[in-house]
Amino acid sequence: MPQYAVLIFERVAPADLPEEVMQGHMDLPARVAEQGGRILAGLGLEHPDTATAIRAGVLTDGPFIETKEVLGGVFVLEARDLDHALALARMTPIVDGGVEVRPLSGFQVLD
Amino acid sequence: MLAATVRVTRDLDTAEEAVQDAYVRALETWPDDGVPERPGAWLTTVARRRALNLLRRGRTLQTKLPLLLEPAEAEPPDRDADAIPDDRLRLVFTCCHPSLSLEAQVALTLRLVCGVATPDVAHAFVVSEATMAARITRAKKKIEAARIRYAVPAPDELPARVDAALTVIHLLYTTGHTAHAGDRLVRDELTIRALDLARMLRLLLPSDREAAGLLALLLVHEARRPTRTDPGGQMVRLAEQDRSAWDRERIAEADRLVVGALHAGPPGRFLLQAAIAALHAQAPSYEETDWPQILTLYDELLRIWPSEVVALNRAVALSMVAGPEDALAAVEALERDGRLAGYRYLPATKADLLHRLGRDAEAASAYEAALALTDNAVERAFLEGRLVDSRAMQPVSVLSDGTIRRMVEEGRIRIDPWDPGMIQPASIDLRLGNSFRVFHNHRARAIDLRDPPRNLTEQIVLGPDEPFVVHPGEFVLARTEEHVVLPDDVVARIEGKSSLGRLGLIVHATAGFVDPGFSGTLTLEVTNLTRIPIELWPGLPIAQLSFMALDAPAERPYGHPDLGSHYHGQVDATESRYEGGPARRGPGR
Repeated sequence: MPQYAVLIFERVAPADLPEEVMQGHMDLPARVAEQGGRILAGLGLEHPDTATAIRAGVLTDGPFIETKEVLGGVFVLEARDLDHALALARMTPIVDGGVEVRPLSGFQVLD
Repeated sequence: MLAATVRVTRDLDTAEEAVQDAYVRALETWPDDGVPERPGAWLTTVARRRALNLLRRGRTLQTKLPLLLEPAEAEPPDRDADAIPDDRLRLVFTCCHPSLSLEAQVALTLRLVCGVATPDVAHAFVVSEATMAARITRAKKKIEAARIRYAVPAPDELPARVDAALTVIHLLYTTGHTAHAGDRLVRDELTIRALDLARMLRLLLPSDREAAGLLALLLVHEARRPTRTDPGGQMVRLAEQDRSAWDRERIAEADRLVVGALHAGPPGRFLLQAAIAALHAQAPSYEETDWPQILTLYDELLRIWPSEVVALNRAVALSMVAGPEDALAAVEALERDGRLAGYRYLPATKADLLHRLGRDAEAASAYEAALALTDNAVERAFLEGRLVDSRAMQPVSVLSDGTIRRMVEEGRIRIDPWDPGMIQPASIDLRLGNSFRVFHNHRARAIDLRDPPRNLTEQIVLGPDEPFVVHPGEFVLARTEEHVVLPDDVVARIEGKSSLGRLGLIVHATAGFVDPGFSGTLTLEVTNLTRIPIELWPGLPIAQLSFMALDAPAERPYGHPDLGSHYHGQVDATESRYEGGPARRGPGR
């Protein structure tokens, strides 16, 4: 099945997410599986304040791109097609923000 | 045929190539073997076979995921005829997928569903062929990379996806109907394609009320199309169109569609628009139109589809039910909202309402605003005609109290500090400021106008609760409390107040004229004509200012670099900066 990255943009910092939203994230793989999709991997990112950017060898404090909605996490999804992927991505719990669904050109986990 | 082939290839480029190959095969074999009984089916079968070959060859060359999502069964030609409508529907949903940009959706639909060649698609949207080709290629790549499904959407997604497809078809029609740029108002190609597509969707989705609504809407537009322009190509407004030339057959078909769909369930936005259009089409004249019913339909439309454009159209219906005054208030509210900035029909509608209210000076500037936003030659000619009319119909140019108030509220005239209580029937009162200039008569022997002496006067600034006494025969300069800014198309005149004139107080010495574009406080030339001194108190109403509209904005308003504009931006009472004779610049105010 085709693979998609679901990028989660959220204005609420990960540490401040309400309990039920956190639980929603935990339950997501099972709910996606019920709908015929599969979550292959998930990444939760610390707050952008903790990021360091490297541009042309120069280090700066903060994320590479400053945005109001912060990239809070990414998960990798297998779905039948874009419509299916969009339907699954809609189930992502979000407080204030949204998600971006992007087809993957490659996904590898190295030993 | 392309649609049927895409189903096999899942890849639009391969499908297009296969279809072209099939035509080539036909050109090669038909002259010898004779034309097959069902040429379309023959071509489809050949194209599909060709596509499979291309795909197999492609697959040996690359190890990417197979593009083929559906099993490539070799269907007998007999089944193709049934499969085609379904395939066309799938192709429409693929091309009109909301994950593609709207312009890409429109271009893809024209190119792939209607089979219009890329250069023609580019021409229709006034972009270069290269731009359009790149746009189509990008969209095709996204369909492939993101795996946009080539299928009829699931029932729960269907309404939103049908709406997206109808939106594309409607946009296609309106682009052809009122082509934004270029000399021909109607690009037949686009309108015919859009009508075909609407008819196709109606056939493929017979129970969809919105599909019926869109077809009905386009049928009414099409029925009225020949009367939208006169033989000379000039635009004709709905009110003045020749209703006897409307295509009654199309209107009757639209009406049947509307009535049938309205009975079937609650209407969506296309059906409501169609119902409004059908009511217009059935009215014997513009005035005899069922405006209350149309207003009700607009209210409903606005409820399910809150859009500023709908609100603007509703204002026109409102003007026919409640009068232009109410409608103008609605349009001005939309204007303040700002979301329709740049939408040419807003100033055009406002101009028409102002014209109906007899406020032609304001109508003229609204027509000008609309003109600045229009590049279609036919619409420009229409607006220019209206502009000339509204200018010609300005019999009186002194602004009334209501107009002054509106222009101040809109910021076109600035009076600071502003107090609406200062408005008189056709002027505003001006108050006396606290700065004066008195003459040092003892210093100068005479005023030689060829070279007037400088520093002839001295500034006096009054403290609080201090009067300024003007003695009999004395001439002093004073200033208004108010700072005045005029637009480029309004002049003002300072006038004395009748009650002060009767006391013998003169406030200007033949120089009451304020140029368009002026900004500053006004210097008053105060004289006491009586035989007893007069005490002046800052803050008292001292003069009045009336305003006159110019026939056109001044080409070089006050403050223009070509002019002297000696007193531009003056704050205190300012003495003469006269520069002398006719070869030099005149004084200006």
